[in-house]
Amino acid sequence: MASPSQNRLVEAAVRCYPSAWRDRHGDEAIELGGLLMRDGISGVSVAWSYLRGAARQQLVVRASRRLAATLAALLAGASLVGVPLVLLSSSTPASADSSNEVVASISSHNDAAGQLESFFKLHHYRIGVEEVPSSPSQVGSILAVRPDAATTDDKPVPRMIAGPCAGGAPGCVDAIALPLHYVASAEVLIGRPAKTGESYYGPPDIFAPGELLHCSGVLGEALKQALPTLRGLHLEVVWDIGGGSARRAATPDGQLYVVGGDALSATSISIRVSSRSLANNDNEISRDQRC
Amino acid sequence: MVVSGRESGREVLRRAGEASVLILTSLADGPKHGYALILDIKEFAGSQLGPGTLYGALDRLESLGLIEALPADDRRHPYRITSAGALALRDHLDSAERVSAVGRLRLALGGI
Repeated sequence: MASPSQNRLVEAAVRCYPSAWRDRHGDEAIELGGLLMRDGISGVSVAWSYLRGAARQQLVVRASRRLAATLAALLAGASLVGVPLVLLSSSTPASADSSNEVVASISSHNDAAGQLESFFKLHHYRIGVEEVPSSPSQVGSILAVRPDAATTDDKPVPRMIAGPCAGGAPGCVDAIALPLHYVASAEVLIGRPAKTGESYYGPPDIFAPGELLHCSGVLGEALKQALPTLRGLHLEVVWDIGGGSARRAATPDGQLYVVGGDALSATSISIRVSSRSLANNDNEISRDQRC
Repeated sequence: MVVSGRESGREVLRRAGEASVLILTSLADGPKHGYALILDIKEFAGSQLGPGTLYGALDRLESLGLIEALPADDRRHPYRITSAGALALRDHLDSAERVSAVGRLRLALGGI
Protein backbone atom coordinates (compact mmCIF):
# COMPACT_ATOMS: atom_id res chain seq x y z
CA MET A 1 0.00 0.00 0.00
CA ALA A 2 1.49 3.34 -1.03
CA SER A 3 1.82 6.01 1.63
CA PRO A 4 0.16 9.39 1.08
CA SER A 5 3.57 10.98 0.64
CA GLN A 6 4.45 8.53 -2.14
CA ASN A 7 1.15 9.25 -3.86
CA ARG A 8 1.85 12.97 -3.64
CA LEU A 9 5.30 12.41 -5.09
CA VAL A 10 3.89 10.58 -8.09
CA GLU A 11 1.21 13.22 -8.59
CA ALA A 12 3.87 15.94 -8.45
CA ALA A 13 5.90 14.12 -11.09
CA VAL A 14 2.87 13.75 -13.37
CA ARG A 15 2.24 17.48 -13.03
CA CYS A 16 5.62 18.05 -14.68
CA TYR A 17 4.22 16.86 -18.01
CA PRO A 18 2.80 19.39 -20.48
CA SER A 19 -0.87 20.16 -19.95
CA ALA A 20 -1.91 18.50 -23.21
CA TRP A 21 -0.24 15.30 -22.09
CA ARG A 22 -1.89 15.52 -18.67
CA ASP A 23 -5.26 16.09 -20.27
CA ARG A 24 -4.89 12.83 -22.11
CA HIS A 25 -2.91 10.59 -19.78
CA GLY A 26 -2.82 12.35 -16.41
CA ASP A 27 -5.60 10.56 -14.55
CA GLU A 28 -4.61 7.19 -15.95
CA ALA A 29 -0.94 7.83 -15.16
CA ILE A 30 -1.70 8.56 -11.51
CA GLU A 31 -3.91 5.49 -11.29
CA LEU A 32 -1.20 3.40 -12.94
CA GLY A 33 1.36 4.72 -10.48
CA GLY A 34 -0.92 3.69 -7.63
CA LEU A 35 -1.30 0.19 -9.04
CA LEU A 36 2.45 -0.20 -9.48
CA MET A 37 3.08 0.95 -5.92
CA ARG A 38 0.42 -1.51 -4.75
CA ASP A 39 2.43 -4.19 -6.57
CA GLY A 40 5.54 -3.27 -4.61
CA ILE A 41 7.28 -0.76 -6.89
CA SER A 42 8.55 2.13 -4.81
CA GLY A 43 6.92 5.52 -5.20
CA VAL A 44 10.33 7.06 -5.77
CA SER A 45 10.95 4.73 -8.71
CA VAL A 46 7.55 5.48 -10.24
CA ALA A 47 7.98 9.22 -9.74
CA TRP A 48 11.47 9.19 -11.22
CA SER A 49 10.23 7.33 -14.29
CA TYR A 50 7.57 9.98 -14.76
CA LEU A 51 10.09 12.76 -14.24
CA ARG A 52 12.31 11.32 -16.96
CA GLY A 53 9.31 10.96 -19.20
CA ALA A 54 8.23 14.51 -18.48
CA ALA A 55 11.68 15.84 -19.32
CA ARG A 56 11.51 14.11 -22.68
CA GLN A 57 7.97 15.25 -23.30
CA GLN A 58 8.92 18.83 -22.60
CA LEU A 59 11.63 18.46 -25.22
CA VAL A 60 9.30 16.92 -27.71
CA VAL A 61 5.95 18.51 -27.17
CA ARG A 62 6.27 22.07 -26.13
CA ALA A 63 9.76 23.35 -25.97
CA SER A 64 9.13 27.02 -26.12
CA ARG A 65 6.66 27.81 -23.43
CA ARG A 66 6.80 27.71 -19.65
CA LEU A 67 10.35 26.52 -20.00
CA ALA A 68 11.57 28.08 -16.81
CA ALA A 69 8.52 26.97 -14.85
CA THR A 70 8.76 23.49 -16.24
CA LEU A 71 12.44 23.12 -15.47
CA ALA A 72 11.86 24.50 -12.00
CA ALA A 73 9.15 21.92 -11.46
CA LEU A 74 11.36 19.15 -12.79
CA LEU A 75 14.24 20.22 -10.62
CA ALA A 76 12.00 20.43 -7.58
CA GLY A 77 10.55 17.02 -8.35
CA ALA A 78 13.94 15.50 -8.98
CA SER A 79 15.30 16.88 -5.75
CA LEU A 80 12.38 15.30 -3.93
CA VAL A 81 13.23 12.00 -5.49
CA GLY A 82 16.90 12.52 -4.73
CA VAL A 83 18.48 11.90 -8.11
CA PRO A 84 21.27 13.42 -10.16
CA LEU A 85 20.22 16.52 -12.01
CA VAL A 86 22.58 16.37 -14.96
CA LEU A 87 19.83 15.81 -17.50
CA LEU A 88 17.55 18.43 -16.08
CA SER A 89 19.85 21.34 -15.33
CA SER A 90 19.51 24.14 -17.83
CA SER A 91 20.90 27.44 -16.76
CA THR A 92 23.54 28.06 -19.40
CA PRO A 93 22.95 31.26 -21.37
CA ALA A 94 22.52 30.98 -25.11
CA SER A 95 25.92 32.35 -25.93
CA ALA A 96 27.86 30.00 -23.69
CA ASP A 97 29.14 26.56 -24.34
CA SER A 98 31.16 24.28 -22.15
CA SER A 99 33.90 21.89 -23.12
CA ASN A 100 31.36 19.10 -23.28
CA GLU A 101 28.76 20.82 -25.39
CA VAL A 102 28.27 22.58 -28.69
CA VAL A 103 25.59 25.25 -28.81
CA ALA A 104 23.52 25.80 -31.95
CA SER A 105 21.98 29.26 -31.77
CA ILE A 106 19.47 31.07 -33.93
CA SER A 107 20.37 34.69 -34.58
CA SER A 108 17.59 35.45 -37.06
CA HIS A 109 14.03 34.22 -36.69
CA ASN A 110 13.56 34.71 -40.44
CA ASP A 111 16.17 32.11 -41.33
CA ALA A 112 16.13 29.85 -38.29
CA ALA A 113 15.77 26.61 -40.20
CA GLY A 114 18.55 27.50 -42.63
CA GLN A 115 20.89 28.52 -39.84
CA LEU A 116 20.41 25.30 -37.91
CA GLU A 117 20.67 23.13 -41.02
CA SER A 118 23.99 24.76 -41.88
CA PHE A 119 25.23 24.34 -38.33
CA PHE A 120 24.33 20.66 -38.11
CA LYS A 121 25.86 19.97 -41.50
CA LEU A 122 29.04 21.83 -40.63
CA HIS A 123 29.46 19.85 -37.40
CA HIS A 124 28.42 16.54 -38.97
CA TYR A 125 25.46 16.02 -36.67
CA ARG A 126 22.77 13.68 -37.93
CA ILE A 127 20.06 16.15 -37.05
CA GLY A 128 17.31 17.18 -39.42
CA VAL A 129 15.26 20.36 -39.33
CA GLU A 130 11.54 20.48 -40.00
CA GLU A 131 9.38 23.60 -40.13
CA VAL A 132 5.95 23.30 -38.54
CA PRO A 133 3.07 25.82 -38.30
CA SER A 134 3.25 27.98 -35.21
CA SER A 135 1.74 31.04 -33.61
CA PRO A 136 3.31 34.32 -34.81
CA SER A 137 5.43 34.73 -31.68
CA GLN A 138 6.96 31.27 -32.13
CA VAL A 139 7.97 31.68 -35.76
CA GLY A 140 11.68 31.04 -36.06
CA SER A 141 11.95 29.46 -32.61
CA ILE A 142 12.73 25.87 -31.70
CA LEU A 143 9.48 24.17 -30.81
CA ALA A 144 10.72 20.68 -30.17
CA VAL A 145 13.60 18.28 -30.48
CA ARG A 146 12.83 14.67 -31.18
CA PRO A 147 15.80 12.63 -30.05
CA ASP A 148 16.34 9.26 -31.58
CA ALA A 149 15.73 6.16 -29.50
CA ALA A 150 13.47 8.12 -27.21
CA THR A 151 12.78 5.11 -25.08
CA THR A 152 16.29 4.68 -23.75
CA ASP A 153 16.72 6.46 -20.45
CA ASP A 154 20.50 6.52 -20.27
CA LYS A 155 21.44 8.54 -23.35
CA PRO A 156 22.15 12.27 -23.21
CA VAL A 157 19.62 14.46 -24.97
CA PRO A 158 19.91 17.93 -26.49
CA ARG A 159 19.29 20.71 -23.97
CA MET A 160 16.98 23.64 -24.66
CA ILE A 161 18.19 27.17 -24.08
CA ALA A 162 15.60 29.91 -23.64
CA GLY A 163 15.70 33.12 -25.65
CA PRO A 164 13.40 35.80 -27.02
CA CYS A 165 10.47 34.98 -29.27
CA ALA A 166 9.77 36.72 -32.55
CA GLY A 167 8.52 40.13 -31.45
CA GLY A 168 10.74 40.14 -28.38
CA ALA A 169 8.59 38.37 -25.80
CA PRO A 170 10.56 36.07 -23.50
CA GLY A 171 10.15 32.34 -23.09
CA CYS A 172 10.93 30.82 -26.48
CA VAL A 173 13.84 28.56 -27.32
CA ASP A 174 16.43 29.92 -29.71
CA ALA A 175 19.33 27.54 -29.10
CA ILE A 176 20.06 23.98 -28.19
CA ALA A 177 23.14 22.58 -26.54
CA LEU A 178 24.35 19.29 -27.93
CA PRO A 179 26.73 16.91 -26.20
CA LEU A 180 30.06 17.21 -28.01
CA HIS A 181 29.99 13.61 -29.14
CA TYR A 182 26.26 13.39 -29.81
CA VAL A 183 26.00 10.67 -32.40
CA ALA A 184 22.30 9.86 -32.34
CA SER A 185 20.04 11.21 -35.03
CA ALA A 186 17.36 13.69 -34.09
CA GLU A 187 14.91 16.12 -35.57
CA VAL A 188 14.50 19.76 -34.63
CA LEU A 189 11.14 21.40 -35.23
CA ILE A 190 11.13 25.11 -36.06
CA GLY A 191 8.06 27.34 -36.06
CA ARG A 192 6.92 28.84 -39.36
CA PRO A 193 3.92 31.06 -40.17
CA ALA A 194 0.75 28.95 -40.23
CA LYS A 195 -1.29 28.82 -43.39
CA THR A 196 -5.04 29.34 -43.32
CA GLY A 197 -6.70 26.48 -41.50
CA GLU A 198 -3.48 24.97 -40.18
CA SER A 199 -3.30 24.03 -36.52
CA TYR A 200 -0.38 25.33 -34.52
CA TYR A 201 2.19 22.78 -33.45
CA GLY A 202 2.17 22.35 -29.74
CA PRO A 203 -0.13 24.17 -29.32
CA PRO A 204 1.21 27.19 -27.41
CA ASP A 205 -0.13 28.44 -24.11
CA ILE A 206 -2.37 31.36 -25.02
CA PHE A 207 -1.51 33.20 -21.79
CA ALA A 208 2.26 33.02 -22.33
CA PRO A 209 4.23 36.16 -23.19
CA GLY A 210 3.73 37.08 -26.82
CA GLU A 211 0.48 35.18 -27.15
CA LEU A 212 -2.98 36.58 -27.65
CA LEU A 213 -4.23 36.59 -24.06
CA HIS A 214 -1.03 37.41 -22.24
CA CYS A 215 -1.66 40.21 -19.78
CA SER A 216 -5.33 40.17 -20.73
CA GLY A 217 -6.44 39.69 -17.13
CA VAL A 218 -8.56 36.75 -18.23
CA LEU A 219 -6.50 34.04 -16.52
CA GLY A 220 -7.95 33.31 -13.11
CA GLU A 221 -11.11 35.33 -13.74
CA ALA A 222 -14.60 33.95 -13.33
CA LEU A 223 -15.88 33.08 -16.78
CA LYS A 224 -18.77 35.55 -16.63
CA GLN A 225 -16.20 38.36 -16.23
CA ALA A 226 -13.85 36.99 -18.85
CA LEU A 227 -16.45 36.39 -21.54
CA PRO A 228 -16.57 39.95 -22.94
CA THR A 229 -12.82 39.86 -23.58
CA LEU A 230 -12.99 36.41 -25.11
CA ARG A 231 -15.92 37.30 -27.34
CA GLY A 232 -14.10 40.43 -28.43
CA LEU A 233 -11.42 38.29 -30.01
CA HIS A 234 -13.91 37.02 -32.60
CA LEU A 235 -12.29 33.59 -32.56
CA GLU A 236 -13.78 30.14 -32.26
CA VAL A 237 -13.52 29.05 -28.63
CA VAL A 238 -13.38 25.38 -27.66
CA TRP A 239 -14.19 24.94 -23.99
CA ASP A 240 -12.16 22.44 -22.05
CA ILE A 241 -13.85 21.28 -18.89
CA GLY A 242 -12.58 18.72 -16.42
CA GLY A 243 -9.08 18.10 -17.64
CA GLY A 244 -9.80 17.93 -21.32
CA SER A 245 -12.10 14.96 -21.20
CA ALA A 246 -15.12 17.09 -22.06
CA ARG A 247 -14.30 19.57 -24.81
CA ARG A 248 -17.34 21.29 -26.18
CA ALA A 249 -18.50 24.29 -28.12
CA ALA A 250 -21.29 25.51 -25.80
CA THR A 251 -20.30 28.19 -23.31
CA PRO A 252 -19.98 26.68 -19.83
CA ASP A 253 -21.36 27.99 -16.55
CA GLY A 254 -20.23 31.57 -15.92
CA GLN A 255 -19.34 30.74 -12.33
CA LEU A 256 -16.41 28.59 -13.47
CA TYR A 257 -12.91 30.01 -13.50
CA VAL A 258 -10.54 30.35 -16.42
CA VAL A 259 -7.49 28.26 -15.52
CA GLY A 260 -5.64 27.92 -18.83
CA GLY A 261 -5.86 27.77 -22.57
CA ASP A 262 -4.08 27.11 -25.82
CA ALA A 263 -3.83 28.89 -29.15
CA LEU A 264 -5.04 26.21 -31.55
CA SER A 265 -4.78 28.11 -34.82
CA ALA A 266 -5.09 31.60 -36.21
CA THR A 267 -8.85 31.34 -35.86
CA SER A 268 -9.45 29.15 -32.81
CA ILE A 269 -8.44 28.86 -29.18
CA SER A 270 -9.22 26.49 -26.35
CA ILE A 271 -10.01 27.75 -22.87
CA ARG A 272 -9.79 25.52 -19.82
CA VAL A 273 -12.27 26.23 -17.04
CA SER A 274 -12.58 24.77 -13.58
CA SER A 275 -14.69 25.13 -10.48
CA ARG A 276 -11.45 25.79 -8.58
CA SER A 277 -9.83 29.16 -9.05
CA LEU A 278 -6.13 29.80 -9.46
CA ALA A 279 -6.07 31.88 -6.30
CA ASN A 280 -3.51 29.60 -4.69
CA ASN A 281 -1.41 29.08 -7.77
CA ASP A 282 1.01 31.97 -7.87
CA ASN A 283 2.99 30.53 -10.77
CA GLU A 284 0.02 30.55 -13.12
CA ILE A 285 -1.14 34.00 -12.12
CA SER A 286 2.29 35.58 -12.22
CA ARG A 287 2.88 34.13 -15.66
CA ASP A 288 -0.06 36.08 -16.96
CA GLN A 289 0.70 39.23 -15.04
CA ARG A 290 4.34 39.53 -16.09
CA CYS A 291 3.46 42.33 -18.50
CA MET B 1 4.32 10.42 -39.81
CA VAL B 2 2.73 7.09 -40.62
CA VAL B 3 4.79 4.07 -41.56
CA SER B 4 3.86 2.48 -44.85
CA GLY B 5 6.61 0.38 -46.46
CA ARG B 6 8.33 -2.71 -45.08
CA GLU B 7 11.78 -1.22 -45.04
CA SER B 8 10.71 2.03 -43.43
CA GLY B 9 8.65 0.17 -40.84
CA ARG B 10 11.61 -1.89 -39.72
CA GLU B 11 13.87 1.14 -39.63
CA VAL B 12 11.37 3.22 -37.70
CA LEU B 13 10.81 0.45 -35.18
CA ARG B 14 14.53 0.00 -34.72
CA ARG B 15 14.86 3.68 -33.93
CA ALA B 16 11.78 3.64 -31.71
CA GLY B 17 13.64 1.48 -29.22
CA GLU B 18 13.25 -1.70 -27.25
CA ALA B 19 10.21 -0.60 -25.28
CA SER B 20 8.32 -0.09 -28.52
CA VAL B 21 9.08 -3.64 -29.64
CA LEU B 22 7.93 -4.98 -26.29
CA ILE B 23 4.70 -3.00 -26.48
CA LEU B 24 3.93 -4.10 -30.03
CA THR B 25 4.64 -7.69 -29.04
CA SER B 26 2.28 -7.38 -26.10
CA LEU B 27 -0.45 -5.86 -28.25
CA ALA B 28 -0.07 -8.55 -30.92
CA ASP B 29 -2.57 -10.78 -29.10
CA GLY B 30 -5.12 -8.06 -28.43
CA PRO B 31 -5.73 -4.55 -27.08
CA LYS B 32 -4.42 -3.61 -23.65
CA HIS B 33 -4.21 -0.53 -21.45
CA GLY B 34 -1.08 0.71 -19.68
CA TYR B 35 -1.16 -1.40 -16.55
CA ALA B 36 -2.00 -4.58 -18.47
CA LEU B 37 0.88 -3.85 -20.83
CA ILE B 38 3.34 -3.50 -17.95
CA LEU B 39 2.19 -6.76 -16.36
CA ASP B 40 2.26 -8.65 -19.66
CA ILE B 41 5.71 -7.37 -20.65
CA LYS B 42 7.08 -8.27 -17.23
CA GLU B 43 5.72 -11.79 -17.65
CA PHE B 44 6.99 -12.56 -21.14
CA ALA B 45 10.17 -10.48 -21.21
CA GLY B 46 11.12 -10.15 -17.56
CA SER B 47 11.42 -6.39 -18.02
CA GLN B 48 9.78 -3.94 -15.65
CA LEU B 49 8.82 -1.07 -17.93
CA GLY B 50 8.73 2.26 -16.11
CA PRO B 51 5.46 4.14 -16.52
CA GLY B 52 7.22 7.18 -17.98
CA THR B 53 8.95 5.01 -20.53
CA LEU B 54 5.66 3.28 -21.29
CA TYR B 55 3.75 6.46 -22.05
CA GLY B 56 6.63 7.89 -24.09
CA ALA B 57 6.71 4.76 -26.21
CA LEU B 58 2.92 4.67 -26.56
CA ASP B 59 2.85 8.27 -27.78
CA ARG B 60 5.65 7.59 -30.23
CA LEU B 61 4.09 4.41 -31.59
CA GLU B 62 0.75 6.17 -32.00
CA SER B 63 2.33 9.10 -33.82
CA LEU B 64 4.00 6.61 -36.14
CA GLY B 65 0.67 4.93 -36.86
CA LEU B 66 1.84 1.62 -35.43
CA ILE B 67 -0.80 1.52 -32.68
CA GLU B 68 -4.08 3.31 -32.12
CA ALA B 69 -5.99 4.29 -29.03
CA LEU B 70 -9.41 2.81 -28.47
CA PRO B 71 -12.21 4.66 -26.66
CA ALA B 72 -11.37 5.13 -22.99
CA ASP B 73 -12.66 2.59 -20.52
CA ASP B 74 -13.25 4.85 -17.51
CA ARG B 75 -9.89 6.59 -17.21
CA ARG B 76 -7.91 3.83 -18.92
CA HIS B 77 -7.07 4.05 -22.60
CA PRO B 78 -6.66 0.68 -24.31
CA TYR B 79 -4.42 0.53 -27.36
CA ARG B 80 -4.37 -1.88 -30.26
CA ILE B 81 -1.78 -2.66 -32.87
CA THR B 82 -2.50 -1.42 -36.40
CA SER B 83 -1.82 -3.34 -39.59
CA ALA B 84 1.26 -1.14 -40.13
CA GLY B 85 2.38 -1.97 -36.59
CA ALA B 86 1.94 -5.69 -37.17
CA LEU B 87 3.91 -5.43 -40.39
CA ALA B 88 6.72 -3.52 -38.71
CA LEU B 89 6.84 -5.95 -35.79
CA ARG B 90 6.91 -8.99 -38.07
CA ASP B 91 9.71 -7.45 -40.09
CA HIS B 92 11.66 -6.58 -36.96
CA LEU B 93 11.28 -10.08 -35.52
CA ASP B 94 12.32 -11.69 -38.82
CA SER B 95 15.44 -9.56 -38.82
CA ALA B 96 16.17 -10.33 -35.16
CA GLU B 97 15.77 -14.06 -35.83
CA ARG B 98 18.27 -13.92 -38.70
CA VAL B 99 20.79 -12.13 -36.51
CA SER B 100 20.15 -14.55 -33.68
CA ALA B 101 20.69 -17.57 -35.92
CA VAL B 102 23.94 -16.20 -37.30
CA GLY B 103 25.16 -15.28 -33.82
CA ARG B 104 24.44 -18.72 -32.40
CA LEU B 105 26.08 -20.44 -35.37
CA ARG B 106 29.22 -18.36 -35.11
CA LEU B 107 29.44 -18.89 -31.37
CA ALA B 108 29.20 -22.63 -31.96
CA LEU B 109 31.79 -22.58 -34.75
CA GLY B 110 34.11 -20.55 -32.60
CA GLY B 111 33.80 -23.04 -29.80
CA ILE B 112 32.96 -20.34 -27.28
